[in-house]
Amino acid sequence: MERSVKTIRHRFGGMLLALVGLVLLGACGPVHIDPRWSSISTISGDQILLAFGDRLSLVNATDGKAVPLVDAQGNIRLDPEGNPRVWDVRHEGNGQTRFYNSPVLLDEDTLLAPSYDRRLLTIDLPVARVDGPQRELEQNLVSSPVIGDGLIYQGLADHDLVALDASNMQEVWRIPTGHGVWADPLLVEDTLYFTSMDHFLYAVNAQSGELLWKSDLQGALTSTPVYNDGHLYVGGFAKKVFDVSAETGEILAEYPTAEWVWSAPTLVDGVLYVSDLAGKVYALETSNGLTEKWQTAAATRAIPPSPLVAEDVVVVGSRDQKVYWLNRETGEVIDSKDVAGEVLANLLLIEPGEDSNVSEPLVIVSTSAPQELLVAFTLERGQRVWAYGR
Amino acid sequence: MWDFIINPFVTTLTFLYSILGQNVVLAIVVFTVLVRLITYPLTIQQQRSTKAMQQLQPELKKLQEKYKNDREKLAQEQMALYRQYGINPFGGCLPLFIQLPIMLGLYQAIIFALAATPYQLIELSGRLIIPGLDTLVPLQNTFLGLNLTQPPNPANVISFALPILVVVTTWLQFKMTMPSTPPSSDGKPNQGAAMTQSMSTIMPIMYGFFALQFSVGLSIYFIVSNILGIIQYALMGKTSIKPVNTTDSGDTNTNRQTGSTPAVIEAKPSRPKSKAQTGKTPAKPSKAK
Repeated sequence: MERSVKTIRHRFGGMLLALVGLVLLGACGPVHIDPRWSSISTISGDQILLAFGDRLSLVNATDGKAVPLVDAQGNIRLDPEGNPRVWDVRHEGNGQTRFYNSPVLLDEDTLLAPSYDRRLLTIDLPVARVDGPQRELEQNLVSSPVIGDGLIYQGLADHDLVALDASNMQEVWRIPTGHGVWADPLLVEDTLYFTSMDHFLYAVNAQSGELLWKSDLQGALTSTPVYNDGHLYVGGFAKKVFDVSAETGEILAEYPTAEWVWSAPTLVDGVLYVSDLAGKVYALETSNGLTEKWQTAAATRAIPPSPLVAEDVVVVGSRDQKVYWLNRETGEVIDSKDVAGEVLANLLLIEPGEDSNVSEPLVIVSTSAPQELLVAFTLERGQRVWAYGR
Repeated sequence: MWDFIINPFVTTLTFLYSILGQNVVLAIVVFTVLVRLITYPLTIQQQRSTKAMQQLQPELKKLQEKYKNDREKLAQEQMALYRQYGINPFGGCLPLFIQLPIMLGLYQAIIFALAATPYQLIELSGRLIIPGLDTLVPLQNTFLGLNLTQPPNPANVISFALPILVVVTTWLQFKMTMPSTPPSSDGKPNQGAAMTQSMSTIMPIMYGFFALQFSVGLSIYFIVSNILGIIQYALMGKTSIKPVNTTDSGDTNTNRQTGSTPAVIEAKPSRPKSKAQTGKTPAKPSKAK
């Protein structure tokens, strides 16, 4: 009996060891869907739409509180227990629901939200509910769609960009690419510009899908180009920023960066502001090609989001869990603020105005930490105003 | 923390991809072969140590019986026995500890190289040590219509066959390469055999579980690694190939099918062991092949 007990104990010991190994290896290995990515945009005035994990939330920029759901008469909706309901949408999907980019407005009352699990979700804005027919595509979705003239232009994560009829979600045309389209397209009048990880910047006729030209930018591209006066500005994995002719696709100028450029540059008053994954920020004059105005090693880790430029400061967020204020003229780091998580998503600027109740310009930062999904700082002094978390 | 392992691995994998016609599966296969070759000395040491420990089990058991009431004396006698046969009782653990970070770094490298999400792709930046490899990023991640960055899809037969192959090859490797535990001379349950039996069931299931959770590219790595492990041991001539339906308590000397010289303990015992003590033919010094 004692021997049987020992045998059983050893068997269980072996199984326990294996289970511990399983847990350890599982903990050490990366999950195939990372939940840390967030994305923010504005719906109206001072309401911030936050996409994180499998949830969408509306947050009031004035106080950092969740926006309550209201009925047609403006009364706050209550749940069965009598508690105020907030605007919050969660879509279980097939376990792979993740929002890597911001939903867009399909019409006044409908959001279109691309999910990583291949679905284009239509969301009823007033009642905060996934509603209506959901379009399932054949590939994962990473980028946000662009809507124009009744068509929805959506990049696919493995390859191709498709144009869907907004009225019935049927495919109208498709542009084949060699690798995934992870950046939002750019619609300028009748021309749709988009980048792909197959190294090409494409220009297509927005209505017919006819390819106008494509330009090889020597490395994968994950950012949306910026258009100005016949020029397209975009950076990529070739560790360069390019000035490309919007008419012909010819490369007019290029500027080297220290590392990959992940996000779109910001163009203000003829100066192009670029951040790269080495933590550097560049200011380039565009009047004659791309001429360096200044460059600064601002952060100790990558700066994925685009620089935010306003008044006399440039604000960037980094994976080193800091937000930096730079002097817009010299690039000198004026100040830095700590946040709880990595800054991966683009920053937002909320300014006082007719649609906004904020008293002064606020910089809204999204982080990867659930307890600090949103943080608001004053633009001028970098003073922390509020933080929102789950 | 693991960057000193992951970065060279990611760089090597991407470099292989560049010289092998941008075929990511071929790159994973060749990469696995290289890692196996590099860890070959450790694998041999671990295998020999494990086998030596198992062949000492009868002697150890006798010491446990003799000194069951005197732990200190038991420990002394056990260490003396190990010294006598030139065995390090932790000899099988050290190679394992060294191989574990290598294995972790390897599958992290595969995950980053086959970046399926924005976060994974951002993680790849700055890791490619050789200049110019950035132009290859991201790697082409499809094979036979499968997206190598995605977990197996039950709707796709080929995709779902891979985790099954992982389980089968892991089980086969385990069965073929773990030395059999000699039966106890007194007929009592053999604890080592029980442990081995448990592990031979748990390990394949565990690897199958991983294969279901992680990307298809990792399943390919597991399968290739297991097959290489079997080939490696066969070439070493130490494969304990026996009918896979025999139990671990079977007589390994008479059941060997390879006809090769059985694996033996490297140490030279100072006192001969009689058949009466072990119930088996004494171990003979190994001969180089």
